[in-house]
Amino acid sequence: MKPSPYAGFDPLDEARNWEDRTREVVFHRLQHAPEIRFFTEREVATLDAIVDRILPQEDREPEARVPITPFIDQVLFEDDTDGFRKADMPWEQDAWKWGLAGIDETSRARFGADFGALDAERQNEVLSAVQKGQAEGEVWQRLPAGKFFGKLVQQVISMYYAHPAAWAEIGWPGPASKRGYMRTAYGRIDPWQPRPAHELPSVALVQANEDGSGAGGSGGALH
Amino acid sequence: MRRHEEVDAVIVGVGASGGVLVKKLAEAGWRVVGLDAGPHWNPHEDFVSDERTMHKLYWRDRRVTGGDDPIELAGNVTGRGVGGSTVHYSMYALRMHRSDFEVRTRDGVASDWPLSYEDLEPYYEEVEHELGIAGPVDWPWDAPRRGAYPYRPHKLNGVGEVLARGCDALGIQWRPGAIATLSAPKQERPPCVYRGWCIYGCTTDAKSSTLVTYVRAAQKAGAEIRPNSMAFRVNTDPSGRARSVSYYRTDEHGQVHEEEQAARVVIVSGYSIETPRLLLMSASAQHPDGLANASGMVGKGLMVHSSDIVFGRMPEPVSMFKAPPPNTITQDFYETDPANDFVRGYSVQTVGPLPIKFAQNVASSLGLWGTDLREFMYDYVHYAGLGLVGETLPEDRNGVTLHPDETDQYGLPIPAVSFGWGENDSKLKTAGVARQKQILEAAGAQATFAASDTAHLMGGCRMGSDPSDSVVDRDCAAWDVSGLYICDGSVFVTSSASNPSLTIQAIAARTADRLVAAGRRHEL
Ligand SMILES: Cc1cc2nc3c(=O)[nH]c(=O)nc-3n(C[C@H](O)[C@H](O)[C@H](O)COP(=O)(O)OP(=O)(O)OC[C@H]3O[C@@H](n4cnc5c(N)ncnc54)[C@H](O)[C@@H]3O)c2cc1C
Repeated sequence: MKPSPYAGFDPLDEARNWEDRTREVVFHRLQHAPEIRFFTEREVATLDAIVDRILPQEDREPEARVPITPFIDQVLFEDDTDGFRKADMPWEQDAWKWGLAGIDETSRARFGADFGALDAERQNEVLSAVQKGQAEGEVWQRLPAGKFFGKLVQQVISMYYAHPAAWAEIGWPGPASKRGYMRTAYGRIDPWQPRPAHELPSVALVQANEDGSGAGGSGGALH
Repeated sequence: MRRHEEVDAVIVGVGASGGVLVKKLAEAGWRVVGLDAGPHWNPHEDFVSDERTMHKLYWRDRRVTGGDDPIELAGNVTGRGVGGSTVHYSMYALRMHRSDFEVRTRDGVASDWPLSYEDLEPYYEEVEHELGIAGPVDWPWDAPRRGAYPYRPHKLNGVGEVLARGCDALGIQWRPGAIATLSAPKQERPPCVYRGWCIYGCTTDAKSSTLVTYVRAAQKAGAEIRPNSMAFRVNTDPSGRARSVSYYRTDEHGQVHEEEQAARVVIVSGYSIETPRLLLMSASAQHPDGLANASGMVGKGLMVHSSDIVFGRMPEPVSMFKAPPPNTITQDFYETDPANDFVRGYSVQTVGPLPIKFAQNVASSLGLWGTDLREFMYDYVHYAGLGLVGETLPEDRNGVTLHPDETDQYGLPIPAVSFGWGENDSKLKTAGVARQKQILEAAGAQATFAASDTAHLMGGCRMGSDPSDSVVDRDCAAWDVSGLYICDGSVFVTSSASNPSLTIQAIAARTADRLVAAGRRHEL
């Protein structure tokens, strides 16, 4: 993985300027990963392995990695979900239980072992099959694979990019509240925004994936 | 069961429309109770600048979404709590065009509205002043304005400039948007500090949600707002007149109590999913198909806006997270153009997703995950996003019904929403996305990609001039049930290509005036 162009930047350096309750929420997240209450041990192992492929963090020491599985577990246990389901999808809790079982099923069908026991390349192959709706397994008869994959990716993203380590690597200065911004014009950088050490344009990634099979699901209304 | 003493009006849902109604009726001296299913938020204590925490603002009770093209619900479409969806909406405050009210006459599609632009014009103006809308000095498109916007426009942000540059290069007109966040102080509310957290609830009160505008004024005028109160039935008397609302109130210990509020006038303002649901749940021997449903139109004609976002990678940092996401707009493609293969049109507006939303859009449209996704996100600050507000036409197959067997936390049947694009909608959407790309490229974008989405709900209990094909008349009075009014986004006949809240609020302001006048004439 390429290193972030914002190495050395830490949004937490500005935390003293945040609203008190925002600071509390963010620090609580940093210091307390929730206990596992919804998933079984086996499901946790599978999900951990999946998360490592959806947003790999091999560049970080294990103890410095952003925890994802415990926060997904919390959402499902507390039913802190969006509350709606598509007509051809089960409710959230079932979708996750079935989907994780389905990914193991596909792994066994293709490679004779559970997902967690496969090497990274084979894991990616399984996940691509699920993304494209071409995965083997009884589960996928009841659970549309592509839609489950979309849900999986959206949820992993919402946990990862809620963490200051993720804000740091993308050059986002964090809540900036209540201070806000002064230099809002195109091309202008506020003093509390980092400057990248070098350019890492994403143009090639867009061009390579323009007609890519989207993960599905919507990012949510913006206007 | 607690039965509350009769008041003049009970309003179910204190959102964009309900907020206007409670204030105007209370100020006219009416005894008013506003019920809302969700909490009465205190922005200074309850709102946090955090993308994950603020999901609590959305309507997240159980719902099913289906049809040929199921729409996303929750945060995409509806809020829950006093202030309704305006607590997390993105504040474009636009008037519809004159043509929007007469699409049957002009374009031969859908139906004309029973109201004209001229009927609503004074109310648009009234609401713009009450909210303190910041807008451009002149508005080059329809509809004609009598006066300038009350507050000066906000300065352009990075993404706003990108839209402006692209439009300038192509000879397209653009303007700063008309936006419901303050550009100068108003009473005790301060101007916006450009935090960019608007769609997660404003912590400074600069954003003119009804929570901090109309509702505060309503309470000063003596209206009672009863939060955590979920209406489940509108009750009628033997003569068929609406008399009261039954609701479940959840107390501070989480205990649920059934209560009933009697009123001379019952107004339902729960928006396009919950309003039809409540009317359908109010079925009785007298009204077997649901209340106010002799036409069979309750729950039909639900519309959305096509709201595809096109993102462009710009050479310089854009930082679209700075300042309110609504910044600049073009309505050059709003009206029917005979050169197109579709009728009606669209607006193009800026957006400004924060990291989680942006990453989700990237994943859902480019299909990225893994190392690619993380590396892509390093480039976040270089992206500008333009959003479409594309008109969709009403169809009877799109709408809301009660689910035959699933129930919510109160044991009430959950709503089943159904949606599918029509042919005109799809062609219009395709043209809009092409235009968004063209503008970004003209502004210098090095690469673009589109994320498909929908926004806003309109319709579901449409108004009309014929009781056989509409639920309410032009004054929002139910055709078949005296004493019952439906006043919210569900009464929309067509969707227009404008974000709907200002029109919803103008209709509510007009309805309040009509009610007060009828009351004076003893005609209620
Ligand atoms: C993310 C997002 C961005 C948006 N951006 C814009 C924008 O920029 N410009 C714009 O014009 N519009 C925008 N909108 C749309 C706008 O917010 C809505 O169209 C508008 O608020 C709808 O008004 P309403 O009064 O019909 O319903 P709401 O404002 O949704 O209010 C309905 C209220 O009724 C309550 N309720 C429902 N059922 C019951 C019941 N049975 N008992 C008691 N209470 C009940 C709900 O809790 C809610 O408070 C946006 C919406 C979203 C979701």
